[in-house]
Amino acid sequence: MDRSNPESTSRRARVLVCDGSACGCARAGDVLAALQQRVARRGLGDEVEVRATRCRGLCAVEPVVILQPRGILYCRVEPADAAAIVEETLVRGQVLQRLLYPEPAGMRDIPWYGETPMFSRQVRVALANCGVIDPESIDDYIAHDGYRGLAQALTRMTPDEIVREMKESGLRGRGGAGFPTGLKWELCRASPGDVKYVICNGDEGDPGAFMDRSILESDPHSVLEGMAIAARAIGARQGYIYCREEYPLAIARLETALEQAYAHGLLGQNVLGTDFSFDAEIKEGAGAFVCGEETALIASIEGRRGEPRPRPPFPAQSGLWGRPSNINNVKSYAMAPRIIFRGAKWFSNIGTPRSPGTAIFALTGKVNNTGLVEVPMGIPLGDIIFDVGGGVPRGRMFKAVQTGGPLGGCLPIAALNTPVDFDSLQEAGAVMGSGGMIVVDEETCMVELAAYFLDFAAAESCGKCVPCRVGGQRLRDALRKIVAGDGTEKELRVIRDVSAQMAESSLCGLGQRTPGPVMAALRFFEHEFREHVEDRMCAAGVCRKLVRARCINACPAGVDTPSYLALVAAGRFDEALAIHRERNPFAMVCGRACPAFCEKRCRRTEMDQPVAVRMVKRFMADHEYARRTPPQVRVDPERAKVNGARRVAVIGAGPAGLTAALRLAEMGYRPTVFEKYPTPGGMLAWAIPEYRLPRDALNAEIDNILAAGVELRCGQALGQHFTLDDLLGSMGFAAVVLAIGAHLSRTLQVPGADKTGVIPGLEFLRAVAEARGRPPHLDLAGKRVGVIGGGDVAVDVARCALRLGAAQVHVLYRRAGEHMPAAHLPEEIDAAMQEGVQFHTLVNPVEVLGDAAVTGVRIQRQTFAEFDPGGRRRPVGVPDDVYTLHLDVLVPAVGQTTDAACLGDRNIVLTSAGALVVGSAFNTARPGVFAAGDAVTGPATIIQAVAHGNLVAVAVDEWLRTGATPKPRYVTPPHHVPLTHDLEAFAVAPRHSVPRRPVGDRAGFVEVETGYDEPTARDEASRCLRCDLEWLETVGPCTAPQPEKAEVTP
Amino acid sequence: MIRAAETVVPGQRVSITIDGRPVQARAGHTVLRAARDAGIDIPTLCDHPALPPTGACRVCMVEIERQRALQPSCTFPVTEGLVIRTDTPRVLAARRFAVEMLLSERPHYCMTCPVSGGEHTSDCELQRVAYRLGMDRWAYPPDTSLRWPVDATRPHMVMDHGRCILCRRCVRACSTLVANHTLAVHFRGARSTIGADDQVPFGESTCVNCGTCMQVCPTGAIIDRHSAFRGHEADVQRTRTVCMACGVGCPIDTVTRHNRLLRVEGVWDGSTDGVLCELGRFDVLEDHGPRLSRPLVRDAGGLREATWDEALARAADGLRGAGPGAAGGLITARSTNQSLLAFTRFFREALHSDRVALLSGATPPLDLGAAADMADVARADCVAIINGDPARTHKVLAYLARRACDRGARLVVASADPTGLDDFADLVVRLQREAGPRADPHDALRFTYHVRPDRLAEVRGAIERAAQPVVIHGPGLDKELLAALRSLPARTRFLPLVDQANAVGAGRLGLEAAPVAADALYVMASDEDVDDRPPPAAGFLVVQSSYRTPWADAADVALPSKAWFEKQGDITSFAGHRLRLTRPVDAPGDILPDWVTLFMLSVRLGRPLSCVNVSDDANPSLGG
Repeated sequence: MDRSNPESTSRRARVLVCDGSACGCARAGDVLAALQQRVARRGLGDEVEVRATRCRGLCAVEPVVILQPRGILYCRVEPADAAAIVEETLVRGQVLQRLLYPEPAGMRDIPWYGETPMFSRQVRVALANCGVIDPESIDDYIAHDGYRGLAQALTRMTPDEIVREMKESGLRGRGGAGFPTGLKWELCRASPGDVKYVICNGDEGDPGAFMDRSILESDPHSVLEGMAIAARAIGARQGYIYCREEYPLAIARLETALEQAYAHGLLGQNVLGTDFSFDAEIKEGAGAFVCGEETALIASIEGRRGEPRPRPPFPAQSGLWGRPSNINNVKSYAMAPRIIFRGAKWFSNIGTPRSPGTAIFALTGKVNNTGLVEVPMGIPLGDIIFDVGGGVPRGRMFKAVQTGGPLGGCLPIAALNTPVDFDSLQEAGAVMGSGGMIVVDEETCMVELAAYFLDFAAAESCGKCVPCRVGGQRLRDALRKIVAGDGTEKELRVIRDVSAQMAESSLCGLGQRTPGPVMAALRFFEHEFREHVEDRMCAAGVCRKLVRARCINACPAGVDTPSYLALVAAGRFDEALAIHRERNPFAMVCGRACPAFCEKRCRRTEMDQPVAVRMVKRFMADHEYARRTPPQVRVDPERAKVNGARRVAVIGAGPAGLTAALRLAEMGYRPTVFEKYPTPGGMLAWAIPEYRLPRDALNAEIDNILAAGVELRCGQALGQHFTLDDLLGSMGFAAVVLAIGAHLSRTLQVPGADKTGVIPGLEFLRAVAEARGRPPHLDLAGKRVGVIGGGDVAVDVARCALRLGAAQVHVLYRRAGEHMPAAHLPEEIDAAMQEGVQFHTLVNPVEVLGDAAVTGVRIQRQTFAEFDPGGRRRPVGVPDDVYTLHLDVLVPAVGQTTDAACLGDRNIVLTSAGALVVGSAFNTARPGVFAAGDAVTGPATIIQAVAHGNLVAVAVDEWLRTGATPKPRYVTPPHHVPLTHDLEAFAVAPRHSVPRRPVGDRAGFVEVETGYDEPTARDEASRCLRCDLEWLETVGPCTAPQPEKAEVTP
Repeated sequence: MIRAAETVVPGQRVSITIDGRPVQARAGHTVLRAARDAGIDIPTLCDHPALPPTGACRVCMVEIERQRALQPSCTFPVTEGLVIRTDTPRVLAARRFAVEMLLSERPHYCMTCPVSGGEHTSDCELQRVAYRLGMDRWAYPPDTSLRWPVDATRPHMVMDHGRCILCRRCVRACSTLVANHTLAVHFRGARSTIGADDQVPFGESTCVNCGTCMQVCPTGAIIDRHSAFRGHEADVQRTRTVCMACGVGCPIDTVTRHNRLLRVEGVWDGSTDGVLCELGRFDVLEDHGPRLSRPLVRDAGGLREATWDEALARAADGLRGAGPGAAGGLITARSTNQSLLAFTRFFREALHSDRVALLSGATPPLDLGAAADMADVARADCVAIINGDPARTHKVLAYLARRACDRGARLVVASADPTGLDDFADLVVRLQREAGPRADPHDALRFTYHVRPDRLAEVRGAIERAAQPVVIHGPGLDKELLAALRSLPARTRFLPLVDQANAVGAGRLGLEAAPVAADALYVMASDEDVDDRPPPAAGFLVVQSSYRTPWADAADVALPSKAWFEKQGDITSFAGHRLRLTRPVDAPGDILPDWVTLFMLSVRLGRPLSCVNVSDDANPSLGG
């Protein structure tokens, strides 16, 4: 057979319009018609062929049009684009930029089909013809080497040779279990009996998986050919294609293919003139998931209830109507002709030795490129998600990937380097399964996800065997309880016990694998389950009953955002601020320097943009400050009577220490804060430059805290002026809270890092802060400054350096821009860029140059290697790609650790990351000594330190009262602020932009951001969608977290 | 993992190891059976010896070497060298789990009822297994989110879905034993329920009320309205005897307590594989009206109670008064062979009369060829029914015929009226009915049946093509039809559709249904249902009956008679087998065996019967 398809070769160009089921939904048919009409009207009918083709896998950007021979790829094409495509591209040869595929990672437009990262990493075997040939044309299939495998199998090979070739290819069943296909054929061939059957399993039931459908719709002949080859090998003359009735297009295409194959003598009596005869027919399944199980599928073909039966006997011994039968998946059959035609060696060279060939995945979920992909076996899991899949949309954090569909398992970040093949996936705790691959990000709750899959599997249980039928219900009950916030240890035990037994004694794979997702989730995300059970908390913000509003849930300190927004909207600013202060005393500070986790989870984002919570907060705090009205002191007089005699020492006057002291004072204790430096504020005071956080604002908030009865002693350093023993002994403190921060700068580990002109980042910022302007010893005028690192400190240093007159400021970061820790405040990076900071990414210093003083730094370009445990690719140097950057000052800002030396207690130790080791109640190894803030978390955010302050105060209180150290809960009553304005009026209300001083007007350390005025703030606050009210309505006040349940009262 | 197809010769002896013990087993048997044969008891719930295994309940799980997962012993076939453990902690945990799951699925509250039963005393298999596994609390509380209905739309049986454990024994019994296919599992997963036809109430379904499902039900999900409240297995007596509802002669186990019949069960290893029909299982438990327990004699004022002496004297006088040879006798074909023989002898020897006939029923010719038995029907490849409707008159036979059809046998029905098997038949031929010359009270004798030659050829052809044909035939066939049947190949086996249980025994004694005109008539009706027929007319009428029927009311002397479940003796089934009746309950009052009555009467007539045996047991001399 030669490649002689006059249809497809005689024309100058071909326009291929994908009309798969997904594209069809996106009006691909209209696009096709419009293009055909346009081409005809332009008189290009003889030169240009416009035709429908099948799924190319780019379902996320459908409808997709490909223009051959140049391979130009247009996405999201609309009928109205037809004119431009014909006139510009076909006639003038111009590529239309606006229709190109936007690469999600690099935001680069990609014009050529083969260049999309989605395709460049793919190897197409089973999908080779999909989207390339006309699925309704047997000639087209034959022109693409179709039926050559069958011809070879019939004319040049004995059945034994076919079996041998399949065994040598190493093909493992693509239905999911990976049983060697060749061996399966051999067993069926060896089974005694005159009548045998080949059956194609097209009962693809996994939600989100549609590769079988795609093959049946796009390349049906390949499946028929594969079945015929299998029939020849095992000695069958009848085949059944079991296809679910939900695939009407697949069935229609199969019917056409069957007709054509019969008409061409490729099916029926004496195929290709040989003595081999083979008939095939379609059996439509009625949509039971369990019918994908081979014995259930056989029962269904026989007309019985689709239920599995115990094996042995195996279908190869006793299958359809008791005869030896060979069942393979659509993909396996589709691969067979190519293996026979191109040889076992060709196939086994793809993939890994134990899993040769390719794997097809339906990539879905929180990934940029959703669709079908075919990759060589053994490709790292992360490459599929981040290269082929283009990573997670909206810059969110990847959390896990579910492979194997609803019966598979999830794999966490740590598994991103796992090679994707049958055995490695199983080792890692997941399965290949039918090839569903669902990517989930940080906004997915793994408990809820497991419950979702379980609901599916339990609903699809046929009900025959007890473990699956009832076990699924018991698992479901337990998960539902946890998701609803009613879970206990017992539910976790039930999940473990029932899962183990279901896997052990269920009849078929459905029951055995039903607990798979929940078992994997519990294995890799047990902390999320525990969070739900122990803390009644769903960090992802998904579980309805546990999440009053996503913003409250996202805030580490749990500030009741919707309530204070509502009060601001109503003009009741003082009440609003009081609510804020219940959980966070630093409204003015956080109004300026909070990463605003609340905004990132704001549901308004789905409509337009998130509510500018931080700016509203800033307004209400500034409003009070401007009027000089000190806030009310919230000290509980009753508790003061009991606790008033007890003194608690807080070491460190940063946000954690001050918050802890405030809360202790409110509980009636007498806290004293010791601060090493002359002024309080910790990192707030000297790591955040004044152009972001003016000192007056900070001092005002600290004064408010002191007004509650907190004693402050500055210039008093632990380990220098007093010791822990002194505090708990002679100084008479009942407990100590260590809020000593993480102030030790990590040093740059390259040669020459000790040269003059190398200034650690924190030291640099301290000097600037102390001088409140230009420190005399840091004259950067006209100098070239390099900053190493990508965190907040690095960006702050860079912007300060410009303000100190530096001629050039370069930030050198070893990973990509989106990986920068400072990216949590994107406006900071934007501002830095505007002001003239130059960012260099994927670079790493290898040597600091200069004799005594820095003259420059040698920089090696970085490239990405495997994934690190944090889910980011590890940067590695590109050999020999080194260049020099001339610098006068080098500021390494590569991280900080806690200084434990001051503690003078060997029992209190640091983690490998340099943070203090504490228990769940913030308790250190020494009774009565607690720790909180950056000292425990490592460098984090203000709001996290505040949250720690709240909690450690509760823990100290509990310990002082009872001597116990349970996990603390800081509980405040939820506020129910009614809606006082017409929310409909804010249906169309874009976010108010953050007012900033123009770049040219930023001399010195004058504050860059300016606040909202009152109307703007109230307007912005009114944009809040009030998720808390919806929660109140659906969950009800009776099930709201009851303060008396957990509130710490004496 | 699939292993290379081994050539297993079924029945071959193989050596296996169970719990460390070397055991000999037969290839093809299941592990469960091999273990039980070796005296190792593995608990089961869904398994039932009469039903094909299904592996659903997962209670019989065992550990088998080289198998990754636990395997159900009820389906796993033994092969040489298999090493099995039935008692490891892993096995026990799985077993416990399955039962815990079942107890949590529906409201099975029995376990919390301290007086409900125990491992050896409960009739509920679920409860027994639970006790056996040492279950003492709910590991998982019962699911109260779903409500399970009770279906009481059938006359004899009640289905309580709340007690169902979905073992599917009933479904399998309905399809594989009775071949009725009414029951199926409806819906799926946790919503699975046992349902009838297209999810209609059982009472509106194609259910034939045979009760086989009830007999296999391991719990109280399907219960019998009659025997509820009447005692547990430990309190009852069981007697194996034969059903007299029709000529099939199904072996049955009668369950009695305090001389009262509670229920009737099929015998799994009997000739009909335990299958019974509605008549045999339930009808006998129904109230059949007031018993006739003392003799009655007619006075001017009507019937009054009398002593046996008086009644027998009056009967003897009346019979004698008719003169020699003028007395006639009618006897039911529900009588034992012993009674039939005694009756004919009584007339011959004591009354010198040969005017003896059967009370009812037309007996087809018994000499068409080799007699079939039920096993032949089950394995036949062609079942032909010539005149008759077993689905109405011999239901169990019809079930077995349909079972043969399920297996692929051809079914031929030749009948004058539509039959209950027409829908399943490959060939249906309508016979023509012609009123015969005899004016007869018995409908069956009034007609002869014939068929068009071409249709007859079709029927013949279908039978002749079969390797193991069985012909089931009724009475009244015309000459051509009979000739055609007689000329079938020798491999053909025949079953006559007789009306009453012992019609073949009666036929062998030369008794057949015929009008008897006599001045004095002695009717031994026993428990035959005569209600819708007028009492025979005679100058003097003696009726011996189990019940106070209109016939007894019309008699000059009415004598009590035992009902079939009070009788001993034997009968001859329609397949020609002599079947032994063993009395499960004693007759009330002072009812005598039929032959004793006859003997005492013969003494009063002055001509005592020649063979006398006071035993009520089968009398060898009378039985011939």
